[in-house]
Amino acid sequence: MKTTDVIVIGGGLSGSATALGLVKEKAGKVLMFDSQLPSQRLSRANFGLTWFMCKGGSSSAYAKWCRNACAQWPEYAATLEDETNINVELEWTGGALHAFGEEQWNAHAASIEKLSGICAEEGLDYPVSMLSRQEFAELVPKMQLGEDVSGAMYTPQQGHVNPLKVLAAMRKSFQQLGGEFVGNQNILEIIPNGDSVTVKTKDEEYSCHKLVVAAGHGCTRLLFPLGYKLNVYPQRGQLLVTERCERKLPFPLLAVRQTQDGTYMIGLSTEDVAHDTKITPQAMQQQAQNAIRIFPELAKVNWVRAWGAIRVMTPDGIPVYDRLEQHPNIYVMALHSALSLNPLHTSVVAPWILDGSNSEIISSFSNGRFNV
Amino acid sequence: MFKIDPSQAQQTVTVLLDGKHKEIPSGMSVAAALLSCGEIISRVSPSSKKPCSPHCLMGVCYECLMEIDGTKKQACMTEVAEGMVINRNFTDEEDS
Repeated sequence: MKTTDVIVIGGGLSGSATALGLVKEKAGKVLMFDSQLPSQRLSRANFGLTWFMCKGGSSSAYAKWCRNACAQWPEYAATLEDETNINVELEWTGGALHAFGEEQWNAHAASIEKLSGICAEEGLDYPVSMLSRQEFAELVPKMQLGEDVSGAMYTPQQGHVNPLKVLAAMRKSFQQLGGEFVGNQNILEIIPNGDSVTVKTKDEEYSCHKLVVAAGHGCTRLLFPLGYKLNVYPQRGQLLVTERCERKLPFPLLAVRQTQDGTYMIGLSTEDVAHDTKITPQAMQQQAQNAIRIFPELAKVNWVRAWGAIRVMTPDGIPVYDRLEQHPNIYVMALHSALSLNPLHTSVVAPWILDGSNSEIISSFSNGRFNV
Repeated sequence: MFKIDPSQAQQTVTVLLDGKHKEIPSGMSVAAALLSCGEIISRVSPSSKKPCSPHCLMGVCYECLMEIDGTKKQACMTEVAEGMVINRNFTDEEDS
C-alpha cells in the first residue's frame, strides 16, 4: 500500500487543472492517474475555445462561473507559459456565432437580451453584441461571407488556445511543483475507510486523505458502488481539420476557427450515440456545408483529418462539482467545456477541495440538483 | 533506398512544371517523379512561409500539396500523366 495526501483520478483537462491547483495550494503529495482509454480521451479532441458567450441561459450561477473563468484566461495562459515555457497559443481576439437569415439573427439578439438580464442580476455585464452583415464583414476583412450570412453575435472578450498544449503545460507544471503523474493505470475500485480512501489499480493499492474523481465517463462506474448516481450522459461531437492555409480568420467562430498553424477546424456536431467515437460521413458533410455557407472559399480547401469524441454531458449542460454526502473526503467533477472553465478549476475548485468547507457558488453545481 | 532500376528503360512524360516544359519519369506519383529529378521543394507553407518537401509519401501529411491540372492535390497520391500542368506557386502566396 502506497500512501499519499490527495489522489486525482483523471488526467484530462479538468483533472489536470484541479491537480495543478492542489499542488499550488500546497496540498502535500498529490498523485494524478490517467487511464488513457480511447473513449475517455475527449480532452485530446477539444475544439480549443475559451468561451462564455451564450452560456448560462438557465442558470445565473453558471453564467457567472463561465464569465469569471473566461476572464481569467489571459493571466492563466501567461502563468502556464512562465512556469513551463509552453506557449499555449492563446489569442484573445474575441469570438463570434454566425447568423443565417433574419430569423436566426433576431433569435441571437433575443438571447443577448436574456443573458444580459441574467448577468445583471449577478452584478455582471454581458459584453456581447449583434453585428450586422456589414459590421461582421469588416471584422473579417480577408474572408468573403456567404450570401446567407445575416450577421453575427460577437464579443471581443474571449478567445481560443491550442488545447493539447494546455493539457501538456498543466501536466508539466503539476509535475514541476512536485505532483506525480501515473499513466496507463486503470482504477478498479474506490474503497472509503473513514478518514482515508483506498484506490485500487491492477498492480497497486494507494491510500489517500482526499480523493478527486475527475474521470469523465469513468466516474459513473467508479462511484456507483458507493451508492452515488452521477447524472451524466455521453454526447458525441465530431470535428474536421483542413490543410494549412494563409492566416485570414482573426478570431474563432463557434463553428469554424483557424489555428496559428493555418489549419481550419470545423465543428460542431452533437449526437447521442453512447460511447462510439467513430466519425460519420453525414456529420462531416453537414459540418463542411455549414462552414462553406459561412465562408464559401473553404470549399476549395483540402480536408485532412477528422475525429470524434464523447462529451461528458449533464441533463442541464452545467457542470457537476460535488462532495459525497456519505464520504465527505471524496469529490467529483463531471463536465463538458472544461477548457473554458479551467482557470477556475485551478483557482477555485482546488482550494474548495482542500479546504473542505462549503462554497456558495460551487454548491449550485451539486449532483443533488437532479435528484428531486 | 528506392532506386530506379537502370537495366529498365525509364518511360518519361512531359509536363508543364511552374510554366516550363519538363520531362519526368512516368509510372509513379508526381511527388516521386519530381523528387527523382531533384525537385525537392513541393510548396511554400502558407502559414510559416517556409519551403516544404514531401514527407510521408503516403497521403497523410499533406506537405506535398500542389496545384495539379487546376486543383490543389496531394502530389504523392496523384499519378504522373502526359501534359499535366503542375504549379507549385512558389511566388504566388496570396493564391491559396
